[in-house]
Amino acid sequence: MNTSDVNSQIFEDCLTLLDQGEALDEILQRYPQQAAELRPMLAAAGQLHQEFTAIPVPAAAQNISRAKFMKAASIAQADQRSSKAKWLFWLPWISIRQVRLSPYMRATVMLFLIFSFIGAFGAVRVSARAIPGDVLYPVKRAAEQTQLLLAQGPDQKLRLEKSFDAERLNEIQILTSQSKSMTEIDFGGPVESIGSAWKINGLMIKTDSQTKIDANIAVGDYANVHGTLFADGAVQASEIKSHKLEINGVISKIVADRWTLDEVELQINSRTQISGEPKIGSQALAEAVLLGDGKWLALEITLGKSGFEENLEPSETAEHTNTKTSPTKTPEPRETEASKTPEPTETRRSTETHEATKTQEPTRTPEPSKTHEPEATKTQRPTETARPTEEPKPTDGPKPTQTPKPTDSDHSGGSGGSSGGGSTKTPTATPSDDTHKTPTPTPTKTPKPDNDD
Amino acid sequence: MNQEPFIISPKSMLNIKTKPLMDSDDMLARIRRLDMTALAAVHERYYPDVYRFTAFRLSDPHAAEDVASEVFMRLLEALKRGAGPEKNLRSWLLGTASNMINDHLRQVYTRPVQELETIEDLPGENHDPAQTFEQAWQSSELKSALKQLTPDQQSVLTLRFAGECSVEETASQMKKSVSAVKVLQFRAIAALRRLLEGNR
Repeated sequence: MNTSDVNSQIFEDCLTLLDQGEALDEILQRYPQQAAELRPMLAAAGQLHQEFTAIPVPAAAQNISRAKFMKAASIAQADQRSSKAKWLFWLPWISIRQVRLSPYMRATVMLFLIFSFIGAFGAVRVSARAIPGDVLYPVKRAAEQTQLLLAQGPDQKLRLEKSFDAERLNEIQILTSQSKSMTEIDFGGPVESIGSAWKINGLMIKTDSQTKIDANIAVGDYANVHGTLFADGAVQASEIKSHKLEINGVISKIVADRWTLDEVELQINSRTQISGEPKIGSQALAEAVLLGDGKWLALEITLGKSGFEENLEPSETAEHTNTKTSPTKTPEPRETEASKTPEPTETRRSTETHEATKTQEPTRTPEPSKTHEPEATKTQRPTETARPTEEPKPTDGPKPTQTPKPTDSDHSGGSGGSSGGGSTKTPTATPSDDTHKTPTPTPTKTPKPDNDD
Repeated sequence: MNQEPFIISPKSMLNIKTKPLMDSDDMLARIRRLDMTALAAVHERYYPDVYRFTAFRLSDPHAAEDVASEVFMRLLEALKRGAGPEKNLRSWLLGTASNMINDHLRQVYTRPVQELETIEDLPGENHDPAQTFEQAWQSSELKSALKQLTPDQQSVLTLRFAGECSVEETASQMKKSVSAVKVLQFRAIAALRRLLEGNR
């Protein structure tokens, strides 16, 4: 056992060394005792590999296997989706419980819903196998459209569209194998040749004067075809269109011939028309077409200024319209804030009304004078925010005017204790004058928030 | 030292063991979700290898086509159950193919008449017309030698040298230990060599 273990390990080591690119003779020199035995064994292993790679793969067998596999996969996928949606079955019961119905009515409604669900799921599930011309084929296409509507983001949508296009090809293969002709079909794929002999995704496409063909389609583009399938597998196209995408966003990356616009990477080549100055951070509107390799090629890029000030064409995706409307909305609150600035006139009134209460404060002259200073500093902070400035300002406003009062300092010596009745009288005269003056500085403060904003 | 006329240069053996694995985690995750695009890509990428693998061991090209196609259906069944390949999709497919071939051969052995019929078809149908007569002869000689090995020996040789599976992958697919696979492959290749030399 040991010798066979050793020999098998040596053989494995030889294979590893061959794999690493070492010459056969050099390897065998390491094992002079086993070399004579190892050489034909390694040759036999090599021959096995060589024979294997030389086996031709019949294209027809591969196509049949692919069609069978993809058909089973689409059924499996439909099964998976319906099993995921099973919880929905309980939803009507939950909602029915909220409504007070007689037991008889409740049972009737439940039965109706159960049959509706079974009918809907059954039709979608069975329709997964449908081919053009079948009764359930529209159900299959409708289910696909629903998936597209529910797709989150352009990437998922694109993936779905590609899988549906692959399904279209399978359907065509089945139609061809069943010798069904004159069937209306549509499919998508890379354009292999154009002009007199169109070829898309391996299918020969016939065109005539009636065929609507998108301008600018080139070989290598991804195109969608609508037409009629004939028994020989050729397609008479009624429409050939490229797969377009319109993006409006901010350029986040420019690397040679690849620009990233709104998280979508766009290829740039001689077909691309660029107007404006490309700059990272600038707004751009691009029209791109899908290429056969899944990349997007920009056909037209219109560059705007950086930021949101630049308004481009109105026809854009929802996401981008949001980004535009939001900046236009933001000035509005400013206007409302600005409209609030007249409010200080109201605050003036309030200061006038509060005068009496404030007259008591000056009596505490030594203490308030200390408290006024921090308050005065506080008054600056609130002015930064919109709302608090409106109320505190007037109350605080008079206070700073009170601090410079020489009259208070005069009284400070005499009025050390509680607010005396006499002290209330003297300030009433002076603050009333001051307050009339103070409104003028307060409006000068209120413009500050506007400037800050 | 007997130098075989068909001896190959070491370079052609470079890819025997460590073929780069192209199925990323993302790809495996996508096929587990039954993503149609990913599944189509898997079929496109691996069908040729799976077909060659089945055609290598089965003389009947129709049976090889059926088994190759069925391997992908088994993949789908496994994915639906939440099973299937965990790391290497290719070795999983070839391992499944290997087991299915053994099952198929077990059934065929009970009907030897059918087997004799298909042997005659072999060089004409299963090979490239461009292949020379000598290559075809060598191929059939190698195949007839291979068929004389035990099913386990055939499996280990096809997985290792035709399927380019590593020792570890082969061990995993054959449910054997790595050391057992090394011993098995050594004995199998020694037996194959003896059979090939005996034919000359």
